[in-house]
Amino acid sequence: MKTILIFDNYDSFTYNLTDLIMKSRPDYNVIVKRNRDIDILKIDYDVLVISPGPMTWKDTGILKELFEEKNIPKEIPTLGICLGMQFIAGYYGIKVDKIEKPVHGSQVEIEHLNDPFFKDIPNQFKSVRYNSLGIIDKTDQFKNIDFIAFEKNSGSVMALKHKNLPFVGLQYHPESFLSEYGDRTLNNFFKIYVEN
Amino acid sequence: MWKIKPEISKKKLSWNFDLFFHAADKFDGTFLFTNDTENNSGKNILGVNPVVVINENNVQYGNRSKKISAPHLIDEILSTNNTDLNYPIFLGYLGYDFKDKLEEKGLYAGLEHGNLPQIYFVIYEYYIITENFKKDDFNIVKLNFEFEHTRFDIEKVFNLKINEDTGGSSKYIGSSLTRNEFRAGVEKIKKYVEQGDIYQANLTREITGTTDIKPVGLAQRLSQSNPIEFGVFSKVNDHYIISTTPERFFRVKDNVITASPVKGTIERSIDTVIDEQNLQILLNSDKDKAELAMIVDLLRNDMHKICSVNSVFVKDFPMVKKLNNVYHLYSEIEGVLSEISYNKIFRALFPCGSISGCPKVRSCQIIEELEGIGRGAYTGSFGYINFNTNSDFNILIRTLFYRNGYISFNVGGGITLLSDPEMEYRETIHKANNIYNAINMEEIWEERYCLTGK
Repeated sequence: MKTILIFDNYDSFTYNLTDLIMKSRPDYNVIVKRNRDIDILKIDYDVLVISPGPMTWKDTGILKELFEEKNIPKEIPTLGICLGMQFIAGYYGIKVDKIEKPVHGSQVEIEHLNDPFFKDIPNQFKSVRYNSLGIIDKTDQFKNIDFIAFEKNSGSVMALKHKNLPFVGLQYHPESFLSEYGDRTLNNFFKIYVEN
Repeated sequence: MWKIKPEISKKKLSWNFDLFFHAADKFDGTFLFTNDTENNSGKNILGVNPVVVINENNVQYGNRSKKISAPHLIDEILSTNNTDLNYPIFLGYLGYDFKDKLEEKGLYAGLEHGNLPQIYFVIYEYYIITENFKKDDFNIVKLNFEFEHTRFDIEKVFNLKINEDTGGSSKYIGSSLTRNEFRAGVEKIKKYVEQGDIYQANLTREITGTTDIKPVGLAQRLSQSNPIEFGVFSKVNDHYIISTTPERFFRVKDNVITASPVKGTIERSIDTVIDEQNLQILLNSDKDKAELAMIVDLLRNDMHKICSVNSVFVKDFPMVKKLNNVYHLYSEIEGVLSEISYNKIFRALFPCGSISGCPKVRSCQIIEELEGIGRGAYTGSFGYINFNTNSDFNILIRTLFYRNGYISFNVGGGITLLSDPEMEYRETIHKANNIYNAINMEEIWEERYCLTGK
């Protein structure tokens, strides 16, 4: 049985994500651990999901250590939501900072660029944002990372993926009750990166 | 664990609210009441003569006591005495400051407040339950215990003679945060929101005073001031908790748990056209809907911890709650509990996101930093648990605490990036004014100057 580790950054939406994942993959073993719990280092996991959370991508406990020790060398599929996406961006040198117009709890229109990750999801869909920080310059695209979805109105980056490694990040919250296609998004992630 | 045997009888009584307040006062009781006819939670419950009193680390039963862990003991007593009886076994509360004990060690600062217990659950010898105070609608539940305890003669309650409220007035002592401190607190929260720590936090301040109005008089005055769905009048040692809250935290019915967060308020008008316009303004307010969505997502999260996979649903969003004086936006979230354990329910849900903030842990830390003192029982939760494990818990807002002539209450609000510090401060005065008027508080320069413009 494959194990999914949900890396909880002391967030209040982690278990919404957990439920979405358990619903999508009932046969997987799901473990939730908080970001400074050193027991995490002893877990053998096949998938890492990085939760949203307060503060900046650097305030994520032992995540950097874990990422360097396991996810990169073992090429472990990783999905980062909100702060989790900001971690992937920040780690690969993309600037994450205060954005002009924070959104907390409102639906926005998201447009994607037909990456396979968004298979069977309309080019424009609605999802909820909860963030004050984000990627501030969408031309700030480093050689390792592709931006694959944007907010329709502001143009800000809403999704990214690593070019060679199985790392995907979403700035919006697919687990919110006001977000569309959360289940398909999760299903695509597992099909492309975990069950290929 | 002790076996408790309930005996149920009916009695015809010509009673009203006042008698229940007096009985709770005189016989160390608790009265949970509702006077909101439009959104009736359906129950008025009086408990008298405490036999089992559960605090954080010990339980008193009869003349004896022993060391325990409160949330675990509640589950143990419930599982030993689980029947299909839909009448209360426990009345009690968790104070806001009990959050520290439910979380990882070291996460919170351990702030305390006064000497009201942080957690307090009681099994009373007698419960009197009525839905509508009609003459033939009083159920008497007597509990029989297998250990020695002081027995109570329920006829004392039936024969209770009440003294009329002889009036009196209240004096202001001060506020835990001054106007400048409160406004600085709002600014600081906005900074925290901007830099990504949180999306929203609730900032409150405590107002203290003295009064020569008796606790029953305070309860009578406050209960007339507003529609109250989840009211409390409880004598806890020499303290009194008097709550006029309109807000439910959660209820459990069979194995279904329901939370009903409220956010967003607009005044009603006697002019039906303006009343309808106001309702539409509220329904179209993106700010209120976003704040409510945030709390709904937070409560879904907390419920997912204890509910079966794919069982938590938002029933409708947003819904409108119609009170005599205001409209509120609210929502209902329902989930199927994977097991019925109040220890687990409290740990998963407490404290409620609507009075702390989001994300919850970071918000509670910021509240500690900015409020500087514990909240005591304020923004905790009072309720009942039945023999069949059904329960109903409120959120202790609009709540007055009384002890030996001293009173205190908190006022506050949810702070977001859009909040204006001065307006938020004024809003706390506006909220406090309802209480000042009810308890006949003298004019207070600090609290009124910006309303009168002086």
